[in-house]
Parts: sequence; structure tokens; C-alpha cells
Amino acid sequence: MEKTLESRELRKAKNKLKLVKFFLSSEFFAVMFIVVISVITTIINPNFFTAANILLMLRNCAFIGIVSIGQALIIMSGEMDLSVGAVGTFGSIVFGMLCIWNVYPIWFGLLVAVLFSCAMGFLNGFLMLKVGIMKWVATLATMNLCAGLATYLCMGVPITPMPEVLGDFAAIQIGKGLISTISGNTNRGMGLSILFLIFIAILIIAHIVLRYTKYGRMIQACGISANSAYMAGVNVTRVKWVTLVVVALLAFIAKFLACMRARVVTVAALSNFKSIAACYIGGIGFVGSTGSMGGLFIGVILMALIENAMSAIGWDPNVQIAVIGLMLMIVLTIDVFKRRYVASRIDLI
Amino acid sequence: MQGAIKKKRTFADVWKRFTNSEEFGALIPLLILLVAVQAFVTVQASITNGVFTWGEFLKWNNIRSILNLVPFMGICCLGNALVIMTGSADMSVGTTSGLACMVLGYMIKALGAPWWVALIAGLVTGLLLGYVKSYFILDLNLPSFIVTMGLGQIIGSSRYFLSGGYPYMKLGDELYTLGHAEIGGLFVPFFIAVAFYIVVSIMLAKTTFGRKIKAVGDNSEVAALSGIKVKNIKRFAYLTSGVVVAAAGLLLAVRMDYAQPATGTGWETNCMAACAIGGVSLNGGRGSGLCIAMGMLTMMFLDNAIVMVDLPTQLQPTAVGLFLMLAASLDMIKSRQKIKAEATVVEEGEVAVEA
Repeated sequence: MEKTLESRELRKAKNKLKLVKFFLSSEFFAVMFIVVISVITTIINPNFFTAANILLMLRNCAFIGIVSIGQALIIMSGEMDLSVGAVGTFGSIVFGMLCIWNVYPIWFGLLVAVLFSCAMGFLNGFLMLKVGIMKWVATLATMNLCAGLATYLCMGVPITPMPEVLGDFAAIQIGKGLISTISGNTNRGMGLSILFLIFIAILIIAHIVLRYTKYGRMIQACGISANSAYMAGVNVTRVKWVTLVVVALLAFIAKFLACMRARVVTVAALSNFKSIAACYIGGIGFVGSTGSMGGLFIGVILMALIENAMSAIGWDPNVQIAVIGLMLMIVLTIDVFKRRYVASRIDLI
Repeated sequence: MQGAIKKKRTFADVWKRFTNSEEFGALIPLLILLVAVQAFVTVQASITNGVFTWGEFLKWNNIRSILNLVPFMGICCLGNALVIMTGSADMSVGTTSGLACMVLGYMIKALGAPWWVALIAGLVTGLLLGYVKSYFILDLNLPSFIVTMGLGQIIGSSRYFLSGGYPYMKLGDELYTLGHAEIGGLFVPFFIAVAFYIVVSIMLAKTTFGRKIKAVGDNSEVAALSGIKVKNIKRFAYLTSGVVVAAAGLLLAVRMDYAQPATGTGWETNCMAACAIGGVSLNGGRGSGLCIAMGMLTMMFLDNAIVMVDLPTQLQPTAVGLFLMLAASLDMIKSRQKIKAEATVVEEGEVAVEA
């Protein structure tokens, strides 16, 4: 009899631990944020929850999403990259200079731009890993370098027009007819943008790489403990360096897609703060769990949601950065409490 | 043998001690920059004029205008350096300055408060923000970089809330005289900045407190084992830097006679570059007031040099970035022996993120 009582108490304590870990996790909070903000915004402005607006949000989340995938990879491996926005802008400006202001063929411009972006990623890796500068100082320096170069090269003016074929490709929308019939003509002829599908494709590829390939496991190992990974035979320097180059490439792809959609190359960089916030709110970057791409997807949706909701409510766009910062602080603080609770009940695991 | 042989201090010893100090290491890039730019400008001017004319870079007019720009970012850098010296990072110093600036404008314009109340309110804002940062970083053990980045964004957006995005103009006569009184061509804020630097230098070099700050930054584990209350020292650093940085923003508002919401954006990069150039190690534990001053002067002269040399101003961030890279690399090479000697480095925030 006594043994059953004890095990019942034990079971209750274990269940409580599981509940705490679930409800205090950042992914849960992210989903809560999404639900709460959507509900409040729809109450204030019913146009928010229409098919057209949701499809617009999905399209906009492609850009910050691709950047965040790269940021997630590098955060999972234990470093961070502040220069993502600036590197993407720099690569796009190089492409613009070659293909729009001069008449080099598109493939050549793309190739050179990709090379330059990867070179910046390589520089990041060199500073961080070979010279040993701290991660934020190194990427901060690269960010300033690229931002200044980008503004200087384009002389401050946006580069127009983007080649027709690229602009048209970015405008492809799929399933207009189907969505129209489902939503009964309230979507104003919008379909699922191909940019969102590209984002999902890259997300799935990243997930497969992380979960099923050796490289992905090495990234996570470096993130959990670089020392242990090194002892286990992982070449930590090479893994991180390669990841930094991949991040730069993804940053370029993201900004380039944004330029394709806008049909103009501007110097406005994608926000690196949003990509970092998307990762943290999505559960990536905390010790103990390396996070997953599913969480990142939630974080990215949240970022696009806030941007859209701010203009739907009619608030100043500056507010969205404050709101994202606030959410980041909440998620970080909740994680501290969760970790304290888990640590206090470590005997149950 | 009884008694040690007393060695007479020769000039060679003094010179060696001087050249091995961090201040000398900070002096070299400054001197190189000054000499190189002056040479370039002299050559340019001589070619234009046909006769040999000294370049305008090192003339008193130019130096005076540079020195008049130093106080604001300089004091901000001082506050930032205090935090860096204890081993943490603070990416929100610029926006804290900006918010203090806007609070000053708000108190004077919207609330009609007297000038000294507004000044105190600005300083208190900095103090409160410093406390908030220290709470998240020290009590909750969150990684300092992420926290200050997030807080920095929140504070940065709140600069626009007080006035709805518009600047506050014309902040009153008392503040105007304070900002525009000059001695020998240099305005009062410059001397206030010098006073700040002297006070902090003395505190760092001569008091036990300053030594404790450097000990905590060098290796907080050993400092804790030596009986130093690490948490208190770090909290003091954050609080002080909050007040100091707020003072920087207030000085800017006083000097410019308006408070605009964009104040302080991007100051963090300059501050970090100034610290790195000046020899304040970004890992913490090294530095003095003179180091910070020289790093700041190098950054300011660099900004001016870019204009003098006719490089486009859009390349200013690029130059800052390159300088930051070089300075941080040199700083890292110097620290490398120290880091190799330590088995593990336990920084704050390692609980949350693998730093």
C-alpha cells in the first residue's frame, strides 16, 4: 500500500514537471502571443482576419523567415550573426550594379553577388574563429563594413528597375482560383505567393539537414557544448565557419527575393534584430534544448504578424520593435523561471 | 647575502614601463592617424596652391571643432567602458542617452518643469534603466548581450513615444547659457566631459573600488574567491554607467538646444570601437580613463579625417567597422596568452546561452 501511494505522488510530481516544461516553454508563449495579438487585432480591425491579409502576411514572412533560418543555424551552433541584414543588402547592391546599371547577364551578376556575400560570411568566420574576436564585435564590424559599402556603392539611390523576368517570378501566386472559391471572393484575387513556398522549402531542407545529416548533428553538438563536441572529434571551427558562410548566403537570398518582389534594389536592410528575436521566441538559443525548425516557423509567423497587426491597428511602425523587444524579454525571463523549476526537480528526470 | 641590491631607476626603465603600458598602445594608432592624415592633407593643399602649405587637419580651428563634438559620445563611451571593464556588454547605451535626452525635453516642454528638475529627471531615468538592466543580467542571470539588445530596442522605440516623434526645441535660457558658454573657443560641455574623465580615471586607478572593477572583469571567479562581492560591483557598474550615459544625452540636448528622438542611435558601435582601440579589453579587466579618452579621440579624429580626405561620408560606417576589426584583433592577440592560461572561463549568462 505504501509503495503505491509513493508512486502516485511521484507520478503527480512528474506530470507537474512535464506541464511546467510545456507551458513555460518559449514555443507555447509564442503561440499564445500569436493567438492573443490576432484576436485583439481582429476585434479592433475586422479586415485583419481575411484571406487576403493572411496571404499577405505569409508572403511577407518569407523574407525575414529565410534570414531567420540562417540565424537559427548559427545560433544553434553557438555563435550569432548581427551582419545578416547588411550582408544581404551588400550582395543585392552588387547584383544591381552589375546587372541593372551595367548590362552583364543575370547569371553572372548572381554569381558575383553570391561570391561577395559568401566572402563576407568567410570574413565573419575568420574574425570570430581564427582571430578570436567575440561574436558580436566581429559581426558588428562586418555589419558596419557592409552597410557603409552598400550605401556608398549605390550612391544612396535605389537601383531600378529589376529585370522583368525576376520581378515576374517573385510575383507568381499559386492557387488563386481555389482560394477564391473557398473564401468566397473576399481575397481580392490573391493566391499563395511563391516566395512563401520557397521559404517553406528552405525550412524543410534545413530541418532535414539538422535532423538527419551528420552536419546537422555536428551543428547542434557545437551549440550544446563546444568543448564536448571537440572532444568527440567534431571540427568545431570548420562547422561554425561553414555555417557562417551558409548564413551569409541565406541572408543574400532573402534580401534578393525582397528586391525581386519590390522590383527595386534598396539599401533598407532586413532587420537582424527580428531574426534573432524570431529564433529566441521560437525556442532556439537556450541551453538544454537546441530547438527545432518548427519553433522557428512559429517565431517567424509572429514577427510577420506583429508587423501586419501594427498597421492594422494603426500604430506607429516604431512600436513593433518595442513590442518584439518586450516579447523577447518575457520569453527570456520565463525561461529562467522554467529552468529554475526544472533544476529544483532534477531528481524526477 | 643580506639585503637586496638596490637598482637605480634609469631612463631606460621608465621608457620601458611607458612603452609597455596600455596607454602607449592606444597612443600609437592615434599618432599614426594624425600624422598620416596631416601628411595627406598637406600634400593635397600644396598641390592645389602650388606652394607648400600646411594642411588644415591639425590647425586649431579643426581641432577645436573636433573637441567640441567629443563630450557627448565621449561620456557615453565612458559609461559603456565601465560596464565592459567588469566583463559584461551593454548594447543599449546609445538609446539610454537618447531617452534621457527626450525625458529632459519632455519635462521642460510638456510639463513645464524648471531646468534643474528636468536634469535630475534625466539622470534618474538613466539610473532606473541601469537598474533594470542589472536586474535582468545579474538577478535573472540572462546573457548580457541579448538582454541589452532587446532592452535597447524597447528603449529606442520609447524615445519616440514621449513626443510622438517630434523633437523638442528651445529648452530655456539657463540651459542655453550652460551649453553655449565658452572658454578659449571650447564650450562648457567639453570641460564637463574632461571633469568626468578625470573623476573616473582617479577612481579606476587609485581606489580599491577601481581595482575591484578590474579584478571582476579579469576573472570573476577568482575575484569572488578573493572576497570581492562580484554582484555588487557589477550592479554598481551598471547603475553608474546608466547615470553617466544619461548625462551624455542631457549634455547633447543642452548644447544643441533641442531634444530629438533619434539621439543615440548607433553610438554603441562607436563606443565599442573606441574601447577596443583605446586598450580597454572587450573581455574585461583592462583599461583606464586615459585609455578610453585616447580611444574616443582616435574615433573622433577618424570621423573628421574621412571628411578631410574627401572620402564620402557614406563610407564612415565602413571605416569604423574596419577600425573595430583591427583594434579588436590586436586586443584579442594581447588577451590570447591570458585566455590560454585559463582552464575554463565562466561568464555570466552561460546558464542561458553557450556564450
